[in-house]
Amino acid sequence: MRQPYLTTALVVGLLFGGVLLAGSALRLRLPGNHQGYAPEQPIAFSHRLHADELQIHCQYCHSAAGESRHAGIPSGEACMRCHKFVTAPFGAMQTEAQAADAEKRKPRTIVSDELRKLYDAMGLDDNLEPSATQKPRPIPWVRVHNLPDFVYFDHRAHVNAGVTCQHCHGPVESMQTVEQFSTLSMGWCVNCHRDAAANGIQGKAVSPSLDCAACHY
Amino acid sequence: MTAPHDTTTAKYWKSPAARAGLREEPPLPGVNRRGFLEAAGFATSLVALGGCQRAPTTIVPALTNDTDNVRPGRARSFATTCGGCAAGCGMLATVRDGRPLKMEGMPEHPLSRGGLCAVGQAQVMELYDQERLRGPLAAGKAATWSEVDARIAAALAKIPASGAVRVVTTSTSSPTLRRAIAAFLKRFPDGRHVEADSVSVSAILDAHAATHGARRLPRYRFDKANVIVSFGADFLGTWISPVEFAAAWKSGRALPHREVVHEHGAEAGGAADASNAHAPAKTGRTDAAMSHHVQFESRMTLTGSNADVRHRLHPGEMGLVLSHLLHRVARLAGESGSPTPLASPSISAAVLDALASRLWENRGKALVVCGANDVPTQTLVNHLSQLLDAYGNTLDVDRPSQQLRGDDRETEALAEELASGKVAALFVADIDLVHDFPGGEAIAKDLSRVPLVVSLATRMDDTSAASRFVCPDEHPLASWGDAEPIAGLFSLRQPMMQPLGNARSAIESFAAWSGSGGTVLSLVRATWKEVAFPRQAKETDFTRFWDRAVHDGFVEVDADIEKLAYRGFDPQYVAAAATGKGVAVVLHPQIAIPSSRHAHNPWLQELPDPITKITWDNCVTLSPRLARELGVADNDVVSLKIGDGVVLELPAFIQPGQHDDVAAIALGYGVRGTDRFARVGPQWLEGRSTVGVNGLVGVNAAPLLRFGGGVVQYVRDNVQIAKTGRRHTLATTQLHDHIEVPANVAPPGSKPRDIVQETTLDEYHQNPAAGAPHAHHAAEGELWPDDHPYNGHRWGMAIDLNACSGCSACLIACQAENNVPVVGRDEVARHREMHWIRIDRYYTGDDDDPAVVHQPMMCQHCANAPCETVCPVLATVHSSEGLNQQVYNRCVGTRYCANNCPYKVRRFNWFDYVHDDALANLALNPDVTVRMRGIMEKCSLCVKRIQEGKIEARRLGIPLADGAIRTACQQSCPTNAIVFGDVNDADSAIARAMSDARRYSVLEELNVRPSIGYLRKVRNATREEGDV
Repeated sequence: MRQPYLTTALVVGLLFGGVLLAGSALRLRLPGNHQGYAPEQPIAFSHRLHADELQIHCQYCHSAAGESRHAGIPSGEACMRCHKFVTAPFGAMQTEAQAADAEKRKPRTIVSDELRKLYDAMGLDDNLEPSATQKPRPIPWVRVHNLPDFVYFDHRAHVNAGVTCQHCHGPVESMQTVEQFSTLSMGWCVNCHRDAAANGIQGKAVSPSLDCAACHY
Repeated sequence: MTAPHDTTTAKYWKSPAARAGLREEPPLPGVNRRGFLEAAGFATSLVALGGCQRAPTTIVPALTNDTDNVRPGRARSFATTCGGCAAGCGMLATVRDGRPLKMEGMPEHPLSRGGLCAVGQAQVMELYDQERLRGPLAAGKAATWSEVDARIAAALAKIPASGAVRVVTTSTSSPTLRRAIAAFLKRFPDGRHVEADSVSVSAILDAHAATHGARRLPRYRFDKANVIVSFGADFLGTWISPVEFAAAWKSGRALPHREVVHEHGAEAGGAADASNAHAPAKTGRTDAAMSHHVQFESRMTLTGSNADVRHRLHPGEMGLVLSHLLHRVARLAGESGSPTPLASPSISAAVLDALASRLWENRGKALVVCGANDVPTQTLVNHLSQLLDAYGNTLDVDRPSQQLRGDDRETEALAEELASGKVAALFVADIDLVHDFPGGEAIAKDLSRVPLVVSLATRMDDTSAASRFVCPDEHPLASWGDAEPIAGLFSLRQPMMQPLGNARSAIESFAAWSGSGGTVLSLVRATWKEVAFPRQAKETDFTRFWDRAVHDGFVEVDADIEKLAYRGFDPQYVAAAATGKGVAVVLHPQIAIPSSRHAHNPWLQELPDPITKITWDNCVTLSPRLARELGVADNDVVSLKIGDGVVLELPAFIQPGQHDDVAAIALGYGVRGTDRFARVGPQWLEGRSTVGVNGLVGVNAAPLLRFGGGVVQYVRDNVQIAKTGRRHTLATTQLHDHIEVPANVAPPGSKPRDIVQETTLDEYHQNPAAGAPHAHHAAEGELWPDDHPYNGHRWGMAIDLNACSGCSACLIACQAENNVPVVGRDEVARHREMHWIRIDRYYTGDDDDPAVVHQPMMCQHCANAPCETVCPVLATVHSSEGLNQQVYNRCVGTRYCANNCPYKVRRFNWFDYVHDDALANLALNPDVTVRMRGIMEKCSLCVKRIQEGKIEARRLGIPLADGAIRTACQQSCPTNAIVFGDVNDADSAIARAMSDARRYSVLEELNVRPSIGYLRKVRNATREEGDV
């Protein structure tokens, strides 16, 4: 007797589900493919500003890429090499400098909201002196490029073979927030390995492995 | 004569019961229908739920500061000194992202020469142990260091001038700790530092006091000996400094590389027939130097299992046989007046005559060692050594060992002082007096009457439980320290990580209590500046000297020690020698658990003993004949009673090769807190606990120990053994993964497989390929010659059975490197242990007195791999470099591959071996996948290291050098039995090993073409002596 209700519920549910799925049907992808993933970061760091406008080389910050499996997230200290002096956007600092000049006083330290987070993490106060109350603590950057636990990718091998960062990571220098550019799927890796074996990398002959154990161990 | 129940024709066998065709292992309870349905239901719902999970957000905490030593993802090695036991081996600790992960041997170290034992490598598990004490305790409650120090200072101030203050430690060769303790005790008129070892060699030192005038432990030079005679000393397993001795022993037995003899274009390697036995070898007849090793022992030790000739001897008869041997050597030396020993020994006169003349011919190159903790016996050894000109040659008393220096007389005196209430303050470091010493229970009671008891134990042991204050020592991997294992060899220990808790180095604690204070680094540095630096001339600046020491891990300086001369020997010791009486119980350390300190280490608990192959238990081993007489079978719980009423109940295990009047029990079990392992391994419907009826892992045998004759007696006579009727299943792996064809399925008339091959030195001299089986197996081609041309690298490994001692260091190396899980006793009993390497131990010869061959067995990386052809999902495939790859993410767990593997080396993950202990997880290697339930795994030939080596060579733009890639098992092997490399590189060590005439493949007749080769074992004995 209750079957009509059950059937109605089932049909409505299916329709509803179908409508929901229809929207994303065009963007269907394999499970585990997070292409386009662009999580919000604890500090709104702009690669566009640093890598494009300021032309800072990728490996200036990600210095382990050439010698380690991981490219590495730069330490707070690496940021401080510049941000010891650059504490706010250029415009704001310029305005303050002109104002100080006009008022014949020493310019005050202007700290932008985003850089404040860096200084907090480094345990520095408003004058960029070690703070008595705030201990240094790591910045919890959110990882963008995640590979499954059974895959071992080695930056070192690729960087030293001449693969550019952009080849996999895309035009990071144009990204305000970094997003995953490639699918990072096995097929994508293997196609590139096949291609490089046939055509080399930037004209240089290489011998990329197609063995499973090149990445899976 | 063969035993009447010997029904098989196999030359090599693994257990007496299996040889007799009996089913040795008790049947396991099967899964019932209800259980199966329940489990299936749960599994289905869990899988359904698991599918709904969203990928978690991963946080990458960036470092705040750049430090030189931390490069994310890059491992670095630091030189340090192992703290696993008193031997003080050199060690390289691999540190990755600020945490030590893998302990490896230090090739440059003069003692350990690149090897590291299982215990040394497993200490990461003790570092990342939840139950290691993290801070001081006062009356069982957490306290601060300042509070505890103040209360200890107040208690010390109350001690009257006559009050006895005792510091008890295990033997320590650390110059800084010794200084700190001495400085602390200076304040007290009656202050003494007592060194007590849970397994003592006190008698050797006492005997040298008698014959040389100073308590000294000589340094044994097994590498300089042509003839080694050991009376019960397990120097390859547990005695004093096993890694040092194993390396030295091997260096005296290394055989040169010899190619197969080719004659008339025919390959002679396949057959050792008479026609080419005398043919001129390509390399000529070589008289390869190889030491002759004779072992007299009461139980089957690892060392005995490697001896060329092994004699069973009652432990009470050691002295008698020694005095007979001494008598003969003295006669050869022309020494008059040596009294004739009274009783006649059980060893035949012919054997003793031959041995005496062999020793005499090799005087200056002979070494006699004895493991008995008995002063008269050791004095006989000293006199024999003197006659054989061993002092200064194979025995060094002028740069002596300082590894063990415990004095049992002082320990006994301490126990008496405790009983009489004389002790006003007691400090105990690194030793469990209550658990490990004779009269431990009485000591526990006496401790409650001592006004101040301070324990420096790293975890709650029986002594710390009876102490008022517990001031935990820091783990050796997390603090500075030092050692001087051999006089003049200063070895440094440096911290590998930030301390995980608030523990404090014992050095710092004693400095704090003596009022001088100081950090452990400043104290160690000061010692080195004042003690080590002036004794050398190489460096003139201390900072440079120190920096070099930190970098190298050790410094050799002059031995600041008085030279000794032989003073003579009292012949009454010969008269004291007697025959053994009744059934004796022998208490011995176990290779995996050399002392109770390591009982909390799950890796070591699950390491199969190299001889019995038992995990997670100690037991009483009985000879087959004694077991028959008592009507005892394996796993029967028996009670042991010695006159004075101590009764122990342990499961029995029948051990071929043991003396018929001996029951042997391992010490160091039944340790407080091991109830934590009750639920180790997977918990499921049919799962059973890992602990025994006492709630602990194993039974403590120390209550059987007694003081007597100024030493701790590890042998007790006249033990009564009775069956209790109960049974306790021992988890032994000795019959697991058996690669011989079982008798019931073997085709009629089939011959046993030639899995292990051995020969004698004489035959080897005649023909380097001697010992090869007569059957010649024609190679029938490759399965995939076109697919796998092996143009680049082709990885291979060779294992020298002549070098392998079976010590099992490689098992732990592999476990640490490859995240091999611990499964618990019950799972081991179900044949589900996960070790990627196993060491097959084969007996050969007589049932009661067999010879032994150890054979490490792991994935053979076959070129024609049977596993690869049956995998329905291509999860196990061949690599272009000859590796048999296991792809975890493809595997669906059909287990076809394991069934088709002729070597039985594949391991299936029956469960998720839960990793919920966040601290223990710090020991996981981040470069190797942690496998999940339902997939197959096996030896990968450390492909992670291969990749690392190749990528690193490419990064540096240099060709990949031979030896640049070392597998984990190869790295730690104390005897360098394992060679790994690129077979395609003609100049490599592996190519040489593979072309050696001794090389053979296991199950060659299957034509699976393994990449692992074995080098035949060679015994320096006749076929009869060595059971070849």
